[in-house]
Amino acid sequence: MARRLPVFLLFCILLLSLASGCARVQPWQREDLSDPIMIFDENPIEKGIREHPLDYREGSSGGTGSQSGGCGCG
Amino acid sequence: MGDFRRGLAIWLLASSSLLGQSEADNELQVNFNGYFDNFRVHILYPTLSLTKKIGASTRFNGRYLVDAITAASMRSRFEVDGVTSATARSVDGVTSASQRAGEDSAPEATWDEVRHEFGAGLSRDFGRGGTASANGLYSTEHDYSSKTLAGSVTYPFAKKNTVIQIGAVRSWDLSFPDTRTWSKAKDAATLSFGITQVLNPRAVAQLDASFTSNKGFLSDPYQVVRVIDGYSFRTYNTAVPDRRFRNAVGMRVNFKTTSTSSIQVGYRYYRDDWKIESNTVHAMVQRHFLDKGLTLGIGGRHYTQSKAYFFKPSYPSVEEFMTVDSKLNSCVSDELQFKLEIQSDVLKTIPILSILAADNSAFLADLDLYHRRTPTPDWFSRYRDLYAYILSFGWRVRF
Amino acid sequence: MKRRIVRFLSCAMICVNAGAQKIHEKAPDFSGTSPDGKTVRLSEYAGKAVLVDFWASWCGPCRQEMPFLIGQYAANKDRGFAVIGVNVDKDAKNLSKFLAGLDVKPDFPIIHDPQSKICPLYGLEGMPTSVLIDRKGIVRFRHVGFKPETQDVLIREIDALIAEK
Repeated sequence: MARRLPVFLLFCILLLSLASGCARVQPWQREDLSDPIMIFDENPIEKGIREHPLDYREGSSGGTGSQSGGCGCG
Repeated sequence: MGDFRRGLAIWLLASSSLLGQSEADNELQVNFNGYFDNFRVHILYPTLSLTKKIGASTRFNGRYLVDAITAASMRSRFEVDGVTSATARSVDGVTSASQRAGEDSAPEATWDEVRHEFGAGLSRDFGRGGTASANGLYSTEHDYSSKTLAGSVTYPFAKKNTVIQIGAVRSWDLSFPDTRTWSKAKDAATLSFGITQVLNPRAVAQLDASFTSNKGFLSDPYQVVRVIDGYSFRTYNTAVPDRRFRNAVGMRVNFKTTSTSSIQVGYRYYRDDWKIESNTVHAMVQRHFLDKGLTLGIGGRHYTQSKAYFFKPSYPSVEEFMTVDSKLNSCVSDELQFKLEIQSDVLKTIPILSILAADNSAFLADLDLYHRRTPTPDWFSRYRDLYAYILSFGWRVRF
Repeated sequence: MKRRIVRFLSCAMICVNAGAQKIHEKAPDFSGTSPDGKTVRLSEYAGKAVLVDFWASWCGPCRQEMPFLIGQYAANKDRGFAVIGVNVDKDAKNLSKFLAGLDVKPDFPIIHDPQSKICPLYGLEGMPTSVLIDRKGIVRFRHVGFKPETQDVLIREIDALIAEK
């Protein structure tokens, strides 16, 4: 647990800084966010293809996020 | 080759129903991918992925990947100081004492390893925009098998300005090299938390943290350590701790800079109880052309890592933990990435590629140039600099 | 620290809907201009059952819904049913391009509202949003999102409002 504490603290600090900047964007204002180039990991297969060899060449893993974003429609 | 066997488990945590943003409910994607480096490791890994809507709120996803690997370090067959190679493959005249890149006379016509990976999963939308998914992955090769289960939940708040993601992955691996009488297990469990936050109509950020516990046989049976004592040396199998706790936190932000372009910047911090600490920064610019019919992306990544506490360039005496694995050494790496996506409207005007121009289809291409430098030479290739490139061509159709 | 946490939680958990329109309230009147320059006003449709659809060409489910609305309008326009589309695309070119790509063009008026002046009147929770208004001008049903599997619900509600006198 002590090993994980500094990473967890960093997560909380970044989370709070994120929260302080959050704004209320209305559903009809999401045109730019709906653009595929604004979506995180719009193609998760492509991300996997790139990270697959990196796991073999570097000693780190994780913390790279997941597919998210978009217009939030539907 | 241990961590290559982890496969594309990160796919399993991508559960958002982004297809909901398009009109089509189903998607098929095929990719042909290759990795090539100057350590003479070549990997071809084609992938196939299908997502199919099977109910009002449920989607099925199936995936298949093949890793066809040639790696000189896996090819040698030897017996030195009572340590035998992990492979039973017969390669005449090659011993670990004489292995240097370029001197290996083994033929390169066949693969040293072929790994098959199958994945399947379901995801379901539930009240007010949430999504839950469960996935399984099975990977098999002649001396290794891996089973993985993953689950994730995403839930939006505040008119989807905030989305929380929670994921868990559990895997059970088994290593059973040809020339060993044992089989050894390796387990991993990962918990990840993420939050995606819309900052304003043109910017969105994501914060992600993951915690992984590995236990069991974490060594690589294909690597050997030479303990040099004066003018003599003895060969030993590598030995690393049988537990590893890995933690990472990352943040990235996407900005829409103009009506047709965006920039993404990100940072990740990692540390584990083997005392490896790393920092990664990345950035990517993407731009649409031809009325969004063609999209180009250029990106860069810079990575620095400290070494595992038990890693040494050479061991003057036998120690409890000894490794030669370059990825546990300190290093600095840089990556340049180019990506291209061509939609069907533009695809149909390009000779040869026009045969791929079905409705709602896209041609995808990726080129990654990678360089890693370690302070001491790699145990097998004897190089400090690794140069690699990844080339990928893909076709995606939504229907 | 505590204030930041509370501010984050309220930002994340509370929907911004102060003063937004609700079911069984009078539908706020609005007017706008269609791409061909005609003025469209909700109050001109008093006495009819009206479906007001808030949509955009960048929204996949909105595009999926359009053929359904075109079909419903064609089937029921002679029974006292009307549809008004409110499109929020920033660029009218994108709206025109989408409409030009449809096999069957919409017969009902579409207001192009690039400044999104009408959406705040109805306090939308998501895109698309379909608001069903009865012959007396009262909002009776609201739907956020569109799935082909839930068309039957919309059809039943449209029939019910048309049947009311």
